[in-house]
Amino acid sequence: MNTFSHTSFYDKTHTVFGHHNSKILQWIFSIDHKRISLLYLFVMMGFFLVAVCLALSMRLELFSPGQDIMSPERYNQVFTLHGVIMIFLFIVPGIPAALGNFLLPLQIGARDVSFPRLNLLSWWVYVAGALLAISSLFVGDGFADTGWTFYAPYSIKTGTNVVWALGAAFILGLASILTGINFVVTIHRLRAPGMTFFKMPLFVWGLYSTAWIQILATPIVGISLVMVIFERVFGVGFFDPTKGGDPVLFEHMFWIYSHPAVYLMILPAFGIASEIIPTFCRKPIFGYHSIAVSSAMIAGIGYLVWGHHMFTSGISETIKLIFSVLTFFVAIPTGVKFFDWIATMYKASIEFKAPMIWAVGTFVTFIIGGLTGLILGTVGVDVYFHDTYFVVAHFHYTMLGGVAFLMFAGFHYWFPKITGRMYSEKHAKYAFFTVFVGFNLLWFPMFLAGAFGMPRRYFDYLPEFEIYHKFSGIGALIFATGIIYMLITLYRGWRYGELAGPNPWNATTLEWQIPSPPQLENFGTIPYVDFQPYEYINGEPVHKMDLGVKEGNKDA
Amino acid sequence: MLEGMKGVSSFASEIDLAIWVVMGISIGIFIVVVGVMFYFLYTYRAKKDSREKIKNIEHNVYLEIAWTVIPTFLLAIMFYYGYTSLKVMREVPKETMDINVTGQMWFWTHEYANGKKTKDLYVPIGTNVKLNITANKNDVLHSYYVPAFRFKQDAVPGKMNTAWFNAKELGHFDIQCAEYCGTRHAYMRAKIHVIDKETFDTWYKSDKKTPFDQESVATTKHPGLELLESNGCLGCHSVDGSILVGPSYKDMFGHKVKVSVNGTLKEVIADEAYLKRAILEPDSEVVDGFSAGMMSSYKDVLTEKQIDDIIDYFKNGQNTPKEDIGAKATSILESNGCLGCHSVDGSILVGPSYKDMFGHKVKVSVNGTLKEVIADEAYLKRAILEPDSEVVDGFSAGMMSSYKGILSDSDIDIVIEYFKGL
Amino acid sequence: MHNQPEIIYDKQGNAHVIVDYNDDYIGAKLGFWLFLFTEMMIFGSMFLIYAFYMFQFSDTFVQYSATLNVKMGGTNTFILLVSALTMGLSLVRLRQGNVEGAKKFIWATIVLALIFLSIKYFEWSAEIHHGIYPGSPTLKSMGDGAVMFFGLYFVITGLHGIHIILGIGAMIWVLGLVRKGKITPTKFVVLENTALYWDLVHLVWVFVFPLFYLIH
Ligand code: HEA
Ligand code: HEA
Ligand code: HEC
Ligand code: CUA
Ligand SMILES: [Cu+2]
Repeated sequence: MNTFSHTSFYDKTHTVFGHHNSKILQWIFSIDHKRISLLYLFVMMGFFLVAVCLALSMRLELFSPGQDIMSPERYNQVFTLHGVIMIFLFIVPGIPAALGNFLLPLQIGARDVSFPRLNLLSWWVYVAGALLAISSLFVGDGFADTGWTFYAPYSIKTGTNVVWALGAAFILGLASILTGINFVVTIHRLRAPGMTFFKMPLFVWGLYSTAWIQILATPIVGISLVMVIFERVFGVGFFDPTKGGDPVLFEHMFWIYSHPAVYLMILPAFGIASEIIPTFCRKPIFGYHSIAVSSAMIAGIGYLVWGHHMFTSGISETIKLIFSVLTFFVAIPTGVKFFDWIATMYKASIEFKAPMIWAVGTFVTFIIGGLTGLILGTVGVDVYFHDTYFVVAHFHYTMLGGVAFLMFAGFHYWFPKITGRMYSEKHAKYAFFTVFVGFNLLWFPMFLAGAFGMPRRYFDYLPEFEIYHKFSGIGALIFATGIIYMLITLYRGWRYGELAGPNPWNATTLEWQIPSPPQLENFGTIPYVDFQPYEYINGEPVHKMDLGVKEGNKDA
Repeated sequence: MLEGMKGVSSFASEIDLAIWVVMGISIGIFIVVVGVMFYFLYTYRAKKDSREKIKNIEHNVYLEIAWTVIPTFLLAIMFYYGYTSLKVMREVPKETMDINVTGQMWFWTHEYANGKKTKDLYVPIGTNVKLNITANKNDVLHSYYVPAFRFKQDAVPGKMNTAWFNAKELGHFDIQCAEYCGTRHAYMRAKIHVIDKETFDTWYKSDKKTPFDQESVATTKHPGLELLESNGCLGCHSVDGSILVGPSYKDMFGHKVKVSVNGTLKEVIADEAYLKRAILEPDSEVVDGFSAGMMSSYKDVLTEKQIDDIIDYFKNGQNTPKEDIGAKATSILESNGCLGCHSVDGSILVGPSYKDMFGHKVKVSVNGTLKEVIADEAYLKRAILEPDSEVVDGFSAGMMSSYKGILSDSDIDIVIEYFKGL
Repeated sequence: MHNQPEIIYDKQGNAHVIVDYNDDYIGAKLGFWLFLFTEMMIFGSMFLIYAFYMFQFSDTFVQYSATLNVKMGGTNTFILLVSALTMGLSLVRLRQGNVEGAKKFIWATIVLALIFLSIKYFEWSAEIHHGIYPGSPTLKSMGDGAVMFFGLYFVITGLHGIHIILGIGAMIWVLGLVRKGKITPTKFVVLENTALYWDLVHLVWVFVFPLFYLIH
């Protein structure tokens, strides 16, 4: 075994223009999926940091009633920018473009994605969109103040830079579509010989369902946003009631994308959970097929439920009931996944390493988020809860307590693969507990505030809600401490951690059968995959391979 | 204080029941699922010999059927309660008192069947009230949210949505705006006052602004104006300067008019005699720019006295006596939502304050260039009718929408008159 | 680097070719089809909006449909049909090994596309000359139905026009690749995809034409 003799992708790369001496150009023009994924990762985390600072400033403003640190106009811009960054720049591209890009080829035994140049292009498009969004801060009346939903006619009327924000969202959508196309083709074409669809790792299944949502739903919101741009620039009038347009039509167009988008976020995150659970339970996952198929079902049904965001908009009663039923249907495949994971824990030998703890913690928070989603899906009840902090708490529990936490779980899980080193287990666990406590303190009180009638997007509130906002503000600080703690732990691991070796978790999927960090073009040998992704006997992987080097004689 | 977390509308108990049921089911699921998970996590944690005890179970058909069927069943229950709670909320009873609700940027207006307009809503207890909710056409989305009554309905510009309730308890309950609508969204509040039937009825028939008011605000309408309304004159003529089918009555009396008599143009002064002729023989002198034959003679329709009343209205009716201006202006400013954005005491809300505005210099930007103007009548009128043409420095364009067609010219005059005294 | 196909063997000794991401004809086609899918979603949503307002203002839509210039629209439909044919023929020629013939047909397609655009230009300028364009006062005075009809008309035909322009750009790029020898009778996927794209552009017009010009 000469596993450690390889040169990792950190040393060597392809770029679009051949070879460059400059280190920076070697990164930003690299067409190696692993480098592109890290480019995404860093830009994305940078924006996450920005959006987090915005979030903390909102919490500070809401800490006491009345105006404290900013004006109402500013507050409205802040929550819009917070929402836009978190959704379009952080969580939608997050798992697919950062972790997915890195792992998809590795997990299916491919040397890269199908269109490496397109992959690089989508990163550039992403950066362009991000810069457009940010630059509108410094022009005219500043960033849009419409909320991330851009509802017409307010988005047509306001004097802020809505066109910029919409343009940015449109461009980011384009980047997302390109990634989606790339992934679907990669999964169809580049699986290692023998690997049928039902032999793919479950993370790949998550990415596959996600990619289809990206392809099918993003164009719809793209064109709707462009129409709002037209409304503002040319005065066309599709959504402008003074010209006969219908604002409710915009709500439909927006949610036809944005509801599937929430599943676009969660499905790859579920994929991460499906990788972590068998590894640390040391046994095959329970119900592989049902987990795989339920991803596709969630993606499919997820297209048909958008109306649950519009229960008070004046759509007909029958339509409301239909949307409510369909909304409930999504819970069944989601439930199947959770039951499968929990069944995997039965008669297992569970190792509580940091990724496992993150995953289990997330199950707790996501189930709260998901169940409150069902409460919101109950028509008569949602009429009362709609647009209150109950909804805000629901989606932070799902997006932050579900998607972002699983993303962090994934960071810990694949950290040794990406960096080649280990972080400190002890500190990673402490960081998790700080985050977990902070998170619940931050968002649980908001369910109560919402249930007692506190509407969202309120700069100011009535005094009886103060107590909830106080808890929430303190929770936010604890939470922030935890996240910073986590990032420091990971940073120290990357700089000073012990060498991890190719397979520190003793896991089964293909990415663990090559050196850490992987080399350019990933595999020396591509295996013939005639086995399931998670095969263990008494806690030991059945297939242990060394795929980093070429098997000399089979080639000719 | 948000008053009344207790449900007050007749259907609130149904909604609360639905909330408790779905919450109960959710909490139950949470405890079971998370409980089982933690039990497994504890029992099957890695120990020295636990690896030998691992059982690679990959399927169990019965289990898998159970965990699709049982949740489906629970979801069916949740759906049922969603359905019943929606039903009570949406099935409007036959006999209702109808009230039109209009949302506009940061202000609700309630209009009763008899034309009464109020900022807060006053309803008698135990009565079915139907709300027809909309927003001004040139405004944005709002949402009429009454937590104590457990309902919420979006106000969509150009569309009419309905909601209903039957208040079961006396008291004062908050209305909040639940759909984001801009800067002062959080302050778009009002109240529903549930009062006893008698108080309501006396108030409803009176001309008091609110049932809690001591004095009545007399709304004396000029008899001439009433005649203009009841005879359909206002279908073709306006009193605010806008041109419909015929010329406007605004600024007509005493001014010069160009008329054509048998094809030749001449100029006349619109005095009593001319106006009388214009009503009785409309085709003899046709105002330039309008066509003959449109208006028919009112010779047999109006009495001499009525015509005098009308002409008196043209002459004097459009001026309001000084004393009333304060009250009238305040009520105009209040019922049109101006005071949601402007203050009269110098504090800055969304727009500039009215205090010390009249006659002072203002810096405005016109198409991006700053200049200074004096806030005189003409400027203030422009500011109300075309707010975006001159934008006061430091404020943003697009916030205030034009009040053209909403405020009549005389309203604007009253308001401006009032500004002078601030 | 990847000239020879890479082959691996399973336990039974059967050979399997590993698909090379650099040179995957089927992958390139599949990817392009997915892209066309997104295009269809875009135009599909526009047609959905059309249907929505058509339902609401059906009389006005019919009334104003009659004011559009069917002759020009019809000519354009015909031109696009022919151009789809010439584009297809260029692919056929290329695969037959006739590179020069292929180039000629691409040029023919470009010329047809330009004719399409100029006819469109005259149509639009006639309408704009009559004061009919999004946000114009004339249009506003014609009522809500007219605002919607012409709004949709300008936005959809405009979006379609942008696609034509992009198509022309793609064809010029393809011509460049042919000259550089990057598209050859055996490596033609870029041309094939461009032809596919052109088919979509033409197909969309086949929907646009009746929806706007023929409903009266
Ligand atoms: C990652 C993001 C994400 C995810 C996964 C979800 C998941 C779900 N969401 Fe959520 N949602 C959002 C993000 C997300 N949501 C956002 C961002 C908004 C607000 C947007 C805005 O207005 O700004 C929103 C708003 C929103 C609303 C509109 C509220 C309103 O504005 O009035 C509704 C209403 O139905 C809803 C429902 C649901 C449901 C039923 C699910 C389901 O998919 C949940 C399924 C999961 C479970 C049920 C838990 C696990 C299952 C079990 C443990 C099995 C046992 C249980 C049973 C089968 C009963 N969501
Ligand atoms: C992924 C999505 C996501 C995430 C993660 C978050 C995270 C947070 N959000 Fe929210 N939020 C949204 C998406 C998200 N949000 C959306 C879509 C809306 C709706 C907007 C709208 O209405 O239009 C919204 C709205 C919203 C509101 C409602 C505003 C209103 O209605 O008036 C509030 C109020 O407190 C809030 C707060 C927070 C807080 C305190 C966090 C915290 O949980 C975040 C705190 C995180 C930390 C404290 C980490 C600190 C870490 C560091 C400081 C170092 C980081 C360094 C690096 C990364 C390098 N968010
Ligand atoms: C949605 C908020 C809003 C409402 C409602 C509103 N205004 Fe304004 N108003 C503004 C803003 C913002 C400005 C400053 C920008 C401008 O000049 O357009 C302004 C400017 C003005 C000015 C010029 C002030 C100056 O200092 O020169 C006058 C006069 C005025 N408004 C009167 C009214 C009247 C009368 C009403 C109601 C019938 C009203 N406004 C309703 C927002 C509003
Ligand atoms: Cu009106 Cu919010
Ligand atoms: Cu949704």
